[in-house]
Amino acid sequence: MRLILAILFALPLFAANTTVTGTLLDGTATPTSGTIYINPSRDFICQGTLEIVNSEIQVLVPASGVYTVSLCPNDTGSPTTTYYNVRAVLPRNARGFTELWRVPTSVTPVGRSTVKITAPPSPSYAFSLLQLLGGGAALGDFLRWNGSNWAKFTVPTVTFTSVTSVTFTHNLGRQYPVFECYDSGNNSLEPKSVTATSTTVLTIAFDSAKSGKCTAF
Amino acid sequence: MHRLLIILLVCGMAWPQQNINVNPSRITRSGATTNDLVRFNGTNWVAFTPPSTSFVALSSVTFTHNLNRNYVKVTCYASVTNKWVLPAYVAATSANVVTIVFDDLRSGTCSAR
Repeated sequence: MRLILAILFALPLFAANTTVTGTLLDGTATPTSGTIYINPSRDFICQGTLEIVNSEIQVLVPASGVYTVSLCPNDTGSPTTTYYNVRAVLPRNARGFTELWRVPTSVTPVGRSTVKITAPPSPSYAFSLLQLLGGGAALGDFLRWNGSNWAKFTVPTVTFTSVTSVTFTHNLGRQYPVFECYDSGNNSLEPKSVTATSTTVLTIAFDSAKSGKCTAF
Repeated sequence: MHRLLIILLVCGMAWPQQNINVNPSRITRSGATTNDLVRFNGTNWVAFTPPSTSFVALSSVTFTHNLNRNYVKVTCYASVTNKWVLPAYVAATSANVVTIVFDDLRSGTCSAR
């Protein structure tokens, strides 16, 4: 009993099916009878009826051509990227049609032009960062757009020994980065001058020969 | 297990989630320009261009970096020579703004991280 109550309280207010209406026409735009076969693109849970939509629906269309069919909306289904494959078969060798329908949630009937789509909807996924692969990254690396892909990015560092000038190729792609230098004792080291030579190079000069490291970001 | 699955389905929950791993190279560009990084904007992870500001003939520059951190590292360079310039001082005005003061009028670019 408690379980039933828990389930009932867990149920959100779901919308009902959507009614799709239209008129079946032959090649001369004359209403015609026929049969419409409607298949879900894949099994999905209908949030309106809580049923799994997984079977073909056949709509027998009378000579008036008018059809009405109640379909589970795709936009609130689970998964959300489903649609229907629709095939109309007309009598007397008249040309039918095959098309895709994506049915929105609607309390009022919708027409064929509303549900017809030209291509299946693109899947949309949500990922946790924990699902992102390392891609060769090391501890402390960032993710950077390299012009083609998002890829690991290691903050550049240059190490030098007993020099008065360092050409630091940082490859940051920005001419004016923030930088910091440390001597071999890991104390802050102030350069005599730093020139932003290009978008990939800093030229760092010291007033006497120094050993240490510089980083730029 | 079977009962649990039925309960989940009856409750209108989604299909059980697949634990898919994603290679960074499969993430779409999402508006990034080359060398942009990824940063959380409070809602989503988005492309982020490291902030910099350029200025002409100013002794004080109000630099809105939007790093959402009061204490940032600032580096400035003079225009034309592209040489590093040490400001007289930098004031952390707010979590998104620093005020950079020079001893005289300067033209150049400052970056913050």
